[in-house]
Amino acid sequence: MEAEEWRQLLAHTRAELAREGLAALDVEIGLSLRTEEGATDREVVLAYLVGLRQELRQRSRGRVEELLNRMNDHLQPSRLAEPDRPAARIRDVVVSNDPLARVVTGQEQISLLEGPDFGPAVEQLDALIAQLRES
Amino acid sequence: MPLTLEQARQGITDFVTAIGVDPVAADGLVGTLTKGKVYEAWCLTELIARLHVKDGLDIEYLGGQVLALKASHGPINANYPHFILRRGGHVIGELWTDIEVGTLSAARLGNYAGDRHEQDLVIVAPGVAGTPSHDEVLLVVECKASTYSKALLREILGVRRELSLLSDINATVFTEWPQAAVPAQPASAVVVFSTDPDVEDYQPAGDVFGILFCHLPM
Repeated sequence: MEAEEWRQLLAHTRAELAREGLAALDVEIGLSLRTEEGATDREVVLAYLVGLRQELRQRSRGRVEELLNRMNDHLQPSRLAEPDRPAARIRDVVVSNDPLARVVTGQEQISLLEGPDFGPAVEQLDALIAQLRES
Repeated sequence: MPLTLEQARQGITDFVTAIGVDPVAADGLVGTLTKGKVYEAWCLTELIARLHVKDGLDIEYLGGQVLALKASHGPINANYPHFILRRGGHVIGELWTDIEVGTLSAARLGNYAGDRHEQDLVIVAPGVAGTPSHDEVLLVVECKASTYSKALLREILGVRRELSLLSDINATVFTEWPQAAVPAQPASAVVVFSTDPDVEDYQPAGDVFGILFCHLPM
């Protein structure tokens, strides 16, 4: 693809994210993205897509499940638990909202485990990035 | 196989559709708060795993089946879950999330606008309640799911300064990880976890002041 086509692809990607209500991701990518001075349009697009992949992965329910399993693996059974019962495992992580966040979200707390599972989408994006690297 | 622009556009459309989030709910779900808290939980897990495996600590969780992280920081609140750290059966510290820590300058001057600093993960001496003072802190951890800029380096150097004075080497309560000894008095450990691989470029400054910079991807 030519430089102008790469620019069109980036514009299309950002528009698609906005259409799906994911404009916040676009901002996050922009703030965390780093490209060398003089980077080509192709390099910018690929960096953007890799950044998008990272942002989705960090929010995916699968990562929360993974961290919960790992955390439980390293915890001792609670001495407060009844000795003849297995220790309780941590089954979810929630964010306890402060008063302003409660007003804004309308929720007392946000469960990280009830978030979306971006795993399949990330796999799809990985395949697309691989193809684009050849383009 | 190389793609044409049209094929690439279609690939993007298919991928965004596959995300499958309700557009109305999406902005809330993907907001900065959620991302930051997932990374904080990721760092908490890594901290527990390293303290257990590398430093030989037994770690007990005190709380229910739901681990609650606070959206905003404050004093130690016993209603929130926390962790007890033991070595050889003896309690050496307590791990809390999202608390404020009293500064060294506040200990000298009394209360003022900058007398406390928010920290994501903190290990304090056993039995400490309320706002821990700088000399009751055993470890602070900062979790940054972002590019680790020079401004963040300056921030953590300020945290280090408000916890301890630069000094000769002193032993911490840890035997190996994160730091068995630091050039600081009181001898608290300071760790930075960041998704940015470049965070470890700042380790030379960390070696001078007693800060461990760790690249921790998600």
